Amino acid sequence: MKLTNYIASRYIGAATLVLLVSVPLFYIVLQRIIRNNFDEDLGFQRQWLEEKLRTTSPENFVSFNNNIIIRPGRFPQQERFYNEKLYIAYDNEMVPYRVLEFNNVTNGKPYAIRIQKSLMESEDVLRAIAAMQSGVLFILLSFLIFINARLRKTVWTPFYKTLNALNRYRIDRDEPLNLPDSNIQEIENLNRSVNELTKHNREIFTQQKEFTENASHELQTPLAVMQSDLDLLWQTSAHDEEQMHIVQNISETIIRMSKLNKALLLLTKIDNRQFTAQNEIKLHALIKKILEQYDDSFKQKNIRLHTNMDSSFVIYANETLMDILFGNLISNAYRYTPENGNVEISLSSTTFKISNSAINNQPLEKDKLFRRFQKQQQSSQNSIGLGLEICKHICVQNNFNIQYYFSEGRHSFEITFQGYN
Amino acid sequence: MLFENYHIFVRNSIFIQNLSISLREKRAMKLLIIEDEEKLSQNIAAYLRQEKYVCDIAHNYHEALNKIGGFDYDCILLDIGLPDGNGLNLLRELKTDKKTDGVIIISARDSLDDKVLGLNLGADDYIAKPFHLSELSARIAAVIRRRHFEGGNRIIVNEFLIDTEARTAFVNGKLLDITKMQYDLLLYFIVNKNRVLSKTAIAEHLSGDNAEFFDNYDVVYAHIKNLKKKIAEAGGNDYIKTIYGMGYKFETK
Repeated sequence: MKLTNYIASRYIGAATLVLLVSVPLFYIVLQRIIRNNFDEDLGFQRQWLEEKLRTTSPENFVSFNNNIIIRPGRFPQQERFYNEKLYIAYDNEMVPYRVLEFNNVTNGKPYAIRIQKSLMESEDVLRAIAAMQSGVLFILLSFLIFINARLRKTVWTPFYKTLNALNRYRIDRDEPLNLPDSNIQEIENLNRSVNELTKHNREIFTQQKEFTENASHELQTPLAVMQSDLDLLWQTSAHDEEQMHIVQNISETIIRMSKLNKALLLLTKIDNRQFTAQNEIKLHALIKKILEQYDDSFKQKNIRLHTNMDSSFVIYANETLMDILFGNLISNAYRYTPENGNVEISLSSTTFKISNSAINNQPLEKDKLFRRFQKQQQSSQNSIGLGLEICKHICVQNNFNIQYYFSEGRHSFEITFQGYN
Repeated sequence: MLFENYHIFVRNSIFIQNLSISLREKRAMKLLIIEDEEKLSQNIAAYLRQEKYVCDIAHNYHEALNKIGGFDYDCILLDIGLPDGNGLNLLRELKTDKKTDGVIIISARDSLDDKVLGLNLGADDYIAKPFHLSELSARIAAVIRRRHFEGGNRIIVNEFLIDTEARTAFVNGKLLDITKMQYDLLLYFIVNKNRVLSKTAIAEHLSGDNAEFFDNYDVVYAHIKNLKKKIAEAGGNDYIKTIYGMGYKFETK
């Protein structure tokens, strides 16, 4: 529910309730006042009549409008007020009357006297008042709704703009928000705070990103110096085997460090969503290209490769990331397939599956598989332990689902593409 | 230098062409190393001087700008992260001056954006730190070949002839039936002839951009074994020496 509607429903509801209670209450109170007035009036008439009857005989009394009826006899009660509907032939309708009945003794004879007064006009007035109040209620409600709609347009539009801008805001992609000034103080405050916040966050984000990048990059130069030193040492003569073995180890370690650095940088970049360019990619062509690079290596280890790929399948993604994703999976399959083993690759419009015969008949530890630096017992010495995590991150970002399973002595990785069928 | 030890290969029809190339290119190739890390620039220069290149070093943007303005170089090694200016601006400078110098970007930033930008600005190649000096040397040789011979070039070393355009290799005029990777390996050996190449350097070279490719030196060993076998079958001498505990060397002396 929108905030404006929520607030409006509350005050419109309250106003309706007040009016609904007040109209009948008002009606009842008014009715009571009118009746009291009538009764008082009838009392005056009685006094006047009793005064009159001292000088005039009741038989000679002529009542105008037939509103005073004097009969010999007596009523059971000494005095009684009540309402009664009487038929008026002239109007051909029933008309409410206020009636006063009382007993009187004139010249020693008892008389029952009835005074009646039409309530018609006062009923009309009451009805008119009730109608007018309902009218006021209706007008008030319409105004409330109208004001609410106006407020939403004028006051709340900047608020919704701010909300939308915040909704769409991505710290890695957008410049800090620059929301306009407003003449409503709260919105002005809100916009200023949001502007400040995004600016500050953006600065921190940029710093963090630059730090990670710079730290990784700065490490590469000293590594390059070390590597070049070793290369020169390599070319000088007269080293014994033991020394060269040490140099070789240092050289390999430098490469490992450099790869680790690059992989961490890549992960950071993926997480920061810095690979934004997207285009249509023919997956089977991309995979074929990667497989070509492994052509010799597969032959070397006498690994048989079976592919079954749907050549029409196209995805919309970042090419570099797809290259890394499938490159890593194929590289892993190659690395962990024993000599004379085989690798199977299949691609359909819903899934990519790569499976390879396992070196020993042991499944990988699933809970460690896609996690940073969680090396498997069977990992190769030179593995840096980031390849599958990188795959996982790429998949998450592209809404792919990646799964590992082990069956019949084969490791399988399966990627399901969502929203591509 | 590359064409120094040519044993001219008479049977080949391209003899005249190669002769003219080797005569024209008798002068020493001149390189400019623009790198602010002093130790690295000195090491690069030391290695390349052994290859008979003449090396100049510039440690910052202004020094580099002066040298580029004053001399012609066959190849410039350009670190784009200089303390007093972006190396890419130097590249722009070079290209607006219509200098024909080949440029190899050396960068600590192995980012695709920088690479694409650098190559778009007219750099010939891009190499990320850290690198093996033998790899750098091979890249320089390739750039100079492309620059000076418009790509259609042949490298001749003893009985070997490498056609770098067609990416084929011959022994005594006979086409070697080798895979792409073995061709790369042979070319790498030949441009780094008489140098000890470590297994790591070879593995790195063969894996190219694919960082996760080789982490197992058995593959390098297997490729070398097969290459040697193919060369022997074609009647070539066994120049590829295993230097135990170190690596390999293509020995022509």
